[in-house]
Amino acid sequence: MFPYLRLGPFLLQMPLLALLLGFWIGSTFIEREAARLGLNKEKINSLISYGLVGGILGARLAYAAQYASVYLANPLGLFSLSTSTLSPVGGFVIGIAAAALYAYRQKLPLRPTLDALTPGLAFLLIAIGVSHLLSGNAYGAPSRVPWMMYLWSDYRHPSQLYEIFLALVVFTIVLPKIIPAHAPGVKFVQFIAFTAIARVFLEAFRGDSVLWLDGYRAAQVMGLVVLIGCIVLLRQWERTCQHESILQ
Amino acid sequence: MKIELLYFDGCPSWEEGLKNLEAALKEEGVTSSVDRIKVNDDDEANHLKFLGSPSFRVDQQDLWHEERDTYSLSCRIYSTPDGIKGWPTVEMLRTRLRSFVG
Amino acid sequence: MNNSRFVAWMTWALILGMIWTVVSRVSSDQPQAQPGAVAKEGFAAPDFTLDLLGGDKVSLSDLRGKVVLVNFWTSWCPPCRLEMPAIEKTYRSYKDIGFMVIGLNLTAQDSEQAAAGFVKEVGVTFPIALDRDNAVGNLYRVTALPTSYFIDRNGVIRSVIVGGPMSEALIQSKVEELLREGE
Repeated sequence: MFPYLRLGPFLLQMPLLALLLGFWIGSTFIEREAARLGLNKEKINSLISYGLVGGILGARLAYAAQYASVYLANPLGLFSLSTSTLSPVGGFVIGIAAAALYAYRQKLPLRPTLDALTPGLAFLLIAIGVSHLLSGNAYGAPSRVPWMMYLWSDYRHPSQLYEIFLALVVFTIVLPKIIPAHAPGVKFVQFIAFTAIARVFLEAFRGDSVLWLDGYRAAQVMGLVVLIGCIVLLRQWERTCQHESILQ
Repeated sequence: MKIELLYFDGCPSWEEGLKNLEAALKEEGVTSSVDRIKVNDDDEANHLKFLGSPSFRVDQQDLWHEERDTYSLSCRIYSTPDGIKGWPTVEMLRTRLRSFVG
Repeated sequence: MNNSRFVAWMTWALILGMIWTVVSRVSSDQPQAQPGAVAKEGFAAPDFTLDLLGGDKVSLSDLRGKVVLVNFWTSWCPPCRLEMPAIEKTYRSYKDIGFMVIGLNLTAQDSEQAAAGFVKEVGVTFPIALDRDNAVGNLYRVTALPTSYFIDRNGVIRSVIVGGPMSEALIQSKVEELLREGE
């Protein structure tokens, strides 16, 4: 675990660096895929930028809204470089909204755009796993398996390593040559489905799961719901495709 | 099997801890006696990697192991079913002993 | 792989996933961590709101912008008692330039009377918060007393000292380092 590195007067947040690096490398995969799919590369790059900037601003504003009195008294705190004063949910929602608004205004085709984003998103999941390993977040349940890791005062499943491994598997699978998608949008839905399966499997080894009802892990339940959604969507598209080919 | 209880005089919880440890050992059928190790100052605490009073060890491994950067005289507290206490319950000790005894 | 076959595989994955979700359920006797709250160096200090000795309340998040020392203690813990004067002295020296102390008494494992008596004896002037149901002790996973958390102006835990008594020099050096960062 390596949350920060002090370089003179600067405090580098290592998990944040991992995310930024993942984002940057992921963007190159997105560009390549966009070119392969015949999409406008500049517009896709702008889409990513709107999503990223919107996400960061949204994360800070959502956090500040929770502690409004503090930020009203100290408005300069809005510009702090600390990552602990960001709301992940707020950032995600506003980032997606900003990107979606841009895509709508630029009339980007939805399904091919989502397919173009897929390899970048898959790579970002690897970076998130590395970020978790550096920060000690998403830690594993206590365990005495031979490959256990010592973290947070106990021996645990190295769940961050499992996360990185599964993200690598998903990333490899969604590369075009492994499972070619035969219709726009299918690649993206396949990615979501594989990610959901990976999360359902992985969550059982986590020590920080949010629990619902009688001990059911919330992330597993949500993963199953997402997987059902993907199956329904793919079947719907398949029927629509068949219907269209009959009409032709 | 070597069973040790580490403590320092100023912390009042070690005597209850010792009582519960002896009860747990009896219920688990462990016949080893308990060596009481008194920690006198911070130097000894560092040398012994003392996690606070009372601490319980089996073959020099703490039953509730923690990694720390420094060690000093402190009063250890345990999360029991009845809330935070200065000593673990007999059941908690038995559960930990079982994972060591096998 | 065509779409139908992919959907078939995903359906099998869904069934296996449901079985796995049930099999890996957390049973009631398994301790589970508080998600999102990790009281370790480099992490945001988990927020809390507690009653204060003498009335009123304190919330850690209200102290954002100050350097804060959260010191977990009980009146029966000798090293806790020994370091209290040093903490009080540092508090008086630096409180006007952005330093705050919360003396967090684990009241569930102490008594409010004993805590109040000790506070009066030492002449403590910083706020004493009362953790009557171990909520904050559990949140911070305190395993030994005293335990001190030095928190910077952004609410990030920068140093955790387990055990004591802390010397005045140690406390001052930690506080001065964090106060300097805000300049």
